[in-house]
Amino acid sequence: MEKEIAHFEVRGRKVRELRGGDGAPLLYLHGAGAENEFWLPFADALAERYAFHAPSHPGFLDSDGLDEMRLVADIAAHYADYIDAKGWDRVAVAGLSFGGWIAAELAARYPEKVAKLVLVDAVGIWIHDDPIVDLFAIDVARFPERMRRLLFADPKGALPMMAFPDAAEGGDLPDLPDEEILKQMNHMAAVAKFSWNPLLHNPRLPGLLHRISAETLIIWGKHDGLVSTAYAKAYGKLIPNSRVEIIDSAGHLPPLETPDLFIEKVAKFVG
Amino acid sequence: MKHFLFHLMPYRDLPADFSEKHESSWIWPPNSLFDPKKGAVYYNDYLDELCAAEEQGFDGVCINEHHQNVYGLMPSPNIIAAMLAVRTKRVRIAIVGNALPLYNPPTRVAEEMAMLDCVSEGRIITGMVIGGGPEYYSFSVNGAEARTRFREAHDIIMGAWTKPGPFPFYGEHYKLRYVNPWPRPYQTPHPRIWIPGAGSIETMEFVAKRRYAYMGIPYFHIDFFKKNYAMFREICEKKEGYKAHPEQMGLLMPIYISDTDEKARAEYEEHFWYFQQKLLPGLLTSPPGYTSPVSAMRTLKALRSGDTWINSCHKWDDVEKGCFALVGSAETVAQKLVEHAKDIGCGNMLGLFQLGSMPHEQALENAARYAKEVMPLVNKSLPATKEPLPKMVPFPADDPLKQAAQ
Repeated sequence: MEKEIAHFEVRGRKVRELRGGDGAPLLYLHGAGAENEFWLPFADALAERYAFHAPSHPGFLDSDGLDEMRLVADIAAHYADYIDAKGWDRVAVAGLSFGGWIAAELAARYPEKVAKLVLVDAVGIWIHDDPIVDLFAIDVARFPERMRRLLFADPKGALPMMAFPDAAEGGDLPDLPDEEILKQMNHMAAVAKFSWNPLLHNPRLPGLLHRISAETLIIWGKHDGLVSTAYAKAYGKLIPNSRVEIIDSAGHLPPLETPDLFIEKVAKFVG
Repeated sequence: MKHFLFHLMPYRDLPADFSEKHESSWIWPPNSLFDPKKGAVYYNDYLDELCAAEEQGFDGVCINEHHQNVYGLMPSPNIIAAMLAVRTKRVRIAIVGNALPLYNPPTRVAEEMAMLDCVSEGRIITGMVIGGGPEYYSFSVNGAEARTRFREAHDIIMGAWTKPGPFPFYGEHYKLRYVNPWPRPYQTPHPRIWIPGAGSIETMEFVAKRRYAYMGIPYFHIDFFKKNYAMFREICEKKEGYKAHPEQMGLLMPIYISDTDEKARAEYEEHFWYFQQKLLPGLLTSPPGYTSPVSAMRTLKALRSGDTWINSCHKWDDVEKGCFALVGSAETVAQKLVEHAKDIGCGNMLGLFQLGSMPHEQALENAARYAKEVMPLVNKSLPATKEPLPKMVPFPADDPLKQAAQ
């Protein structure tokens, strides 16, 4: 399958997706940063091993369906429909951050559809003594460095500086084109719709995770400032057939920060 | 012209290093800084200032709702309105407003406004607001639902006031089996509705279609207001086919009067800067989805474009140029006010007479001078129109966003 950016339809909803590569299908669920907008190195590498599919969630880029949904469980149901529409019997699912939460709900609610599960720095559950940081309270326009510190092991690296640039000279807005700012606003609004309160989790999810039947790998960046490695352990305890692997040199975004290590772990686990 | 005294009820005595120590004056400034003894003084001073407006000759008073901030200590404007309802006899009491998405169920607003309208024998003006962005953090209410919650809450309240109860309401956010509040409002069919806006076309269309009144959210450059009100009048005329009544529009502004322009500035300036530097920062904090990204972008651009927002003022000259406050002798204030109000076409002038750190006596004197010296000059140039206000239409037949529930 050629690597492409294409549109697919699920029950009348337009789904924008990256797809490409051959072999067993791999469904990749992206985080709030929409790292599936373009073919990035981690996606290229996955497409060399699998029939890689990275759909955009409702409300992201030009994917439909946001108005019909309120809960992450609704997005999980949407992806169950997506899997059916693709004609897959079972599929390996990997999810990063917000996408990890969706992947966990999908695997718990529709265990028969998930062959293997990879959770990467996933939100979705809550540890009272180690709360997820309130992402929505960070004024990115004024303090981009706060976002960089939260998400990246190396906040001064090229990638964080590109994703969250400092304000333009003398201005109070990041030095990005209007369309880019508008897109980020749209994406944050979509994430907020599902996760403003309770903040980035579903209090009912821990009570469902025992239903996951897929073998599960939990990958976490040691320096994740948003959702700490305590969450990796908590997910590990709650998901029956699971193990945790920590990447020492990553923060919240291992596929982007340490693509080689990330791919190596996924490839070894998924096969 | 109708004249209203608007009060924010600010915290007047913040420590000198407040701005250095605290990034925001909203949501997060630690409430350990609140001194209840001062609070007692403030509330009683401010109530006296509001009540004095009646004797001074104002047509009405305005109060509003904000939470967890130093800018306005009025989390419950309805409680203040209750006190005003019994302490005054004549003035209109405009509650602008209740932040509808913060009331669950919104029938609470219909109930409390109706109580107040009965006690005051029909003097309530009901303001309906979405609420500032910070309120969504303070209450952990989802900003992405702000607009749809506002819409449903509006329909519930207006339904409660215009349709025989009990009736069911089935919305996305609120599912109420029996809407039937007792009491009903004293005014027939219900109080006038005022809705503040900051330039969003959607809000103007909503107000114009229903023949409500549009109140501009303050602290913008006067040219920004002029553009907005021109747009509102145009929507009334071109889209809705009627000429906007002057009292469908209100202009809110800080006002200060003294013997001469120089004296006014000298007495006023410190309070203005206190207001701008200590009370406003964080006011524009807004949660994702709070406005449509296109509106949010428009606001960002307005803020980016130099002198549109009050915080772009660095020296007094900037304040004067953008008319961020009307300050001077009675003649100067009246002359500028008439000039702007004529351009804007508004029939309601809403003045902030206490601002920032301004002490009680000075605020009282300021309002008194406005009433005695400015009002007559303004009313001579801009007499109140005799034409009745248009009949309000809470549920227009051609509402594009009509809820299934109606």
